[in-house]
Amino acid sequence: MHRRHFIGAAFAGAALISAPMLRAQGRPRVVVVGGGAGGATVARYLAKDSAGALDVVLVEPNRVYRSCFFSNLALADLRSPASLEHRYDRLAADYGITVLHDRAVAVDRARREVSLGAGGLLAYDKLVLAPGIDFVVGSVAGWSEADAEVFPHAYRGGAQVDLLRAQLGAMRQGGTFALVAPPNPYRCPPGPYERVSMVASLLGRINPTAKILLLDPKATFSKQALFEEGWARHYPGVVERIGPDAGGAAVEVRPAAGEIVVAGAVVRVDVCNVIPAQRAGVISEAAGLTEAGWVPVEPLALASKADPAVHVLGDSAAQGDMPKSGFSANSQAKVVANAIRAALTGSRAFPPRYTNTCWSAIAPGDGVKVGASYTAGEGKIAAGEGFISQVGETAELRAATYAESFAWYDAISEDIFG
Amino acid sequence: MSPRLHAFAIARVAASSVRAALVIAGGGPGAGVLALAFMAVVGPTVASAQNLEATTGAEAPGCAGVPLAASPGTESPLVDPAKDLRAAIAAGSGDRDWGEWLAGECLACHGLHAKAEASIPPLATLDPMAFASALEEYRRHLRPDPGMRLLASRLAPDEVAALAAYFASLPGEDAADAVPADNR
Ligand SMILES: Cc1cc2nc3c(=O)[nH]c(=O)nc-3n(C[C@H](O)[C@H](O)[C@H](O)COP(=O)(O)OP(=O)(O)OC[C@H]3O[C@@H](n4cnc5c(N)ncnc54)[C@H](O)[C@@H]3O)c2cc1C
Repeated sequence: MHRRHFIGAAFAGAALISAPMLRAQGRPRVVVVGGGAGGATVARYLAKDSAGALDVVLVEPNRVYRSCFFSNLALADLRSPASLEHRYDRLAADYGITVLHDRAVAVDRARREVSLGAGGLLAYDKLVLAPGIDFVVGSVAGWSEADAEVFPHAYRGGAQVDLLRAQLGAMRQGGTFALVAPPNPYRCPPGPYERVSMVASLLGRINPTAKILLLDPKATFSKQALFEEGWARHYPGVVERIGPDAGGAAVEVRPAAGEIVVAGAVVRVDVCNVIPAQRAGVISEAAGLTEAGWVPVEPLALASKADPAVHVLGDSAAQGDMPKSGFSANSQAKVVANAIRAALTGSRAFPPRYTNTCWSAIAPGDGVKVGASYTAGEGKIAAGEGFISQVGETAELRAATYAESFAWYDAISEDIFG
Repeated sequence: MSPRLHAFAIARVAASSVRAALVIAGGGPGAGVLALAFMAVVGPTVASAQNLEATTGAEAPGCAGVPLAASPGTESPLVDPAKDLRAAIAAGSGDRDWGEWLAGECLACHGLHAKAEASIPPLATLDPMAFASALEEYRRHLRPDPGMRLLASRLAPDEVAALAAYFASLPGEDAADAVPADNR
């Protein structure tokens, strides 16, 4: 106890003489870039728990966040697109967060300033980057982001998902849907396979003779036994997976011609979903924090290994063993908020706790999940114990797991956006 | 000192030492060493989640699909929390602020308030003693949900008391007679 008080006081003293703190009108300022699963949670917990002691500014270009989580269910009409929309009103009105609908375009880490697209400059005492993902240019031969209007990625929520749903609805009877899966690491490891499941469910209803071609650069994938069991049970003969040994790692796409090239053979496709290789949101690179595309962070509170004044969380962070998921981003965000608040206001710092659970829908009423706890290990966040659904589970248990995922969606949305 | 009390005391010491380590983490170069010292005491849990995928289909830790021991709506708990924990809950002596921090982990799946979707019970309706009983049942694998078993196994008695103190402080919705409805 004495030790804690003593150190806490010394720390608060050190913070007082930091110049940017004085600039921010007496209250320390935290700038959060990105209002998604990670960023909105950090902003909310910082504002909620500091009760006005911190000036929290959230920078997010979109007025409406359309979640990727459950967007696969929207493809199968199991969720309405509107039910995936979240606004920032409560974060501003109920928590006193300054929400700026703008884009961060540069970070001057020496001056502790963020430049905004509209021209403003924001000084910070602590900066949080949670910008999600961007795509690796040239990772799929023949595809660039400009082609996403023809061969959508549908991997950043919203309009791209609407487009893919519309294309599937308009697909000719008996046509081919191709999905080009990404290499590791990428957001939501089971995401492409849940998407195959949900598209199969939709097509089974509206286009029962259609086929699905899954092109995969990875030899194995998340929840593989569970998905393959589910595809055989619910969609027999519909899904054909081409792994790396059969050309799945070197696919060329030709959006203008409606073709893909696999192992030298030209295949005509009616709808093609290209999910490219991924990297940290580009602002991380502009801030000079990335290594091999992602931002290395400390495991105790996700501070950048290059700059302790900048915390990076969610998909952009190279933190260790946690999968890139909304659940992980939300879990990390609470740790970051607690650590930042303690550093800037001298409040209690609690030991980090990290968890993740990812539910996936295989068919309407058939859900599976995988989860684990994580700890701050040596130089990285390290996986602890975990659990995973089993093949051969009863329909009753699968239905319960499926229902649970809907309760999770409501709960985590409230935890992120208030 | 009874073995249980002894374990309780160790958990307390370990938890407060990591708190100290964390405060130092912001400020000094010794931070990493202290944090690692904590890891050595409490230790990251063993079974690697990374190997989990390989076990799908075979027997895996966590045992989803174990039949229900407590049927939905069971009113009386199968097991009571340990005596000292019960006393701490009854006295409301848990560390509420620590509980609020720990509850962050719960909130990812359990909303705070009741929603139409009832398959995971909201926190504001949890009776603190019933909550502690439910956790004990998960810890002893008397309830099947693998996620809750994992979380329960990671909570020391003083952490459960802290959570209970936090839940008790929430403006409840019929909190008095609610038990955790979720028996999965
Ligand atoms: C199909 C699919 C299904 C998924 N299903 C699940 C699931 O079931 N469960 C789960 O837990 N996760 C799921 N995920 C993963 C989840 O969506 C992501 O892991 C999560 O959103 C990551 O959170 P984040 O905060 O890092 O990024 P995001 O939530 O993407 O938020 C990033 C935000 O930053 C903003 N931004 C980017 N750059 C800037 C800038 N320069 N300035 C200002 N703002 C910026 C963006 O506009 C965006 O709003 C799924 C993903 C996909 C694609």
